[in-house]
Amino acid sequence: MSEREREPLGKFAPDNINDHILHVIFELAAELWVVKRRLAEVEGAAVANGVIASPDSIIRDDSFAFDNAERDAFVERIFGSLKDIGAKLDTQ
Amino acid sequence: MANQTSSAAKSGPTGRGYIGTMAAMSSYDDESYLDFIEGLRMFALRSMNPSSARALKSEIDAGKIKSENPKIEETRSVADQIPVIGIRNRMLHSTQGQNWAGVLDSYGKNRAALEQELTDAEKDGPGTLRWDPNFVYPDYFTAIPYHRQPGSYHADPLSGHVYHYGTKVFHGGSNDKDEAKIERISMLPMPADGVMKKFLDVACAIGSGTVAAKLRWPNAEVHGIEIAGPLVRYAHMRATRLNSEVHFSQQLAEKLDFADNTFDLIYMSTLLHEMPLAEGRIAVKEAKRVLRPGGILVINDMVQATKPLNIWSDYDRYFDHRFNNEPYAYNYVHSDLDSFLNEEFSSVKNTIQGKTSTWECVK
Repeated sequence: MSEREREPLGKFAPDNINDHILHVIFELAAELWVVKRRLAEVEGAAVANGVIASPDSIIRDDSFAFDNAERDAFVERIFGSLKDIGAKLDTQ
Repeated sequence: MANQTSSAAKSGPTGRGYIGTMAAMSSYDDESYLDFIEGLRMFALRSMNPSSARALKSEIDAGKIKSENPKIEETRSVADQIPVIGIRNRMLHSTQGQNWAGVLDSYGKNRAALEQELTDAEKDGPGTLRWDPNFVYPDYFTAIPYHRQPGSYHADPLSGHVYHYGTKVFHGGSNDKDEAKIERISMLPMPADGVMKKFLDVACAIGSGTVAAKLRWPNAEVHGIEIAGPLVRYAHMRATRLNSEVHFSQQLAEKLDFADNTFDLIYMSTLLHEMPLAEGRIAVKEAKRVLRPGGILVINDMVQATKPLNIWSDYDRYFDHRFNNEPYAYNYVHSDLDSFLNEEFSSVKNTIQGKTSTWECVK
């Protein structure tokens, strides 16, 4: 996160924001369930039509290092700003 | 990259083949879940740890901690208040719990098959297994589940399976095919006379270092001892699958059943920090007893505390003590192991690589 983006922290979010964050997490979990449910339907249809033998037949092969790089980039995108918080919360 | 496997390629107790030398998780989703946990843990170690260390240093530089060798209470009074450290601590604690729960839940779906493969392998070779289902464990060992692993090392028949996949996440996937252990074993010294007929791995866990030793010295008689029944059973089953002739037995490191002066080289890796100091000293003396004159005991373990103190490392070690069920590690790093080893052995050479300290002790 750049200094320009960091600057407003503490101005936009009040102290009681934890309740709101929890609510966001609940909504995200609901949306994730929607995606997983739909994905299961699609996978079932793919198996029934012979497109794949089974979703669980998918395994990682020896080129998994590429997977790790993508995964690590995914984690960095989501959580990367946390490492920039430092010794004090920016509340100016 | 993921790929599709034919039904013929599927094998193993979960029906999904193997990742490296361990059975794959029971479903693709379970594997993906743990893959994410592995990535988040790596982020905590590679990104959050350096940021946390820098944040603590800035507070030290600002005079918040006066002493060069502060007591842990003083360090905690500053470090626990630092936001980035709090987030790091939560991240490590959560991912550790998610890791164990995820592995156990997934393997639990195939528990019967996984337990059966342990039983089926017991009489198979080329190596051998000695273990006692009524083994009496010392109180210090059963006092806590090490590293928060459910069932610890000894109380669940699947503890070896769970430990193996759990440590895969710990290693960040870098040891899936024993790569890290093979490298570590390749660094072991030979006795000065070049004789290397018998090797002992003390506290061998799932035997990956032991199997690596057999790869390096195929003509040597290789033994691995381990206190936990499920781990030593898993070690034998895994070595059998890899066609490695290793002799595993369930024993206390403090009371080995080998004769005096038996082994040319003894390897003791990450054991001492998991024992009370007194028992650890007994284990070293016992290894010395079964080591032949001129033989070498190699100890790999956590780096001992320095003076002046590395304050971040000390805080990090205490975090493990507080929250990751490492009840003996903090005392261990402050135990002056060097002096003890120098009193016991004719020569001791110590080297440090990252967070690992190695002592080569010649009898």
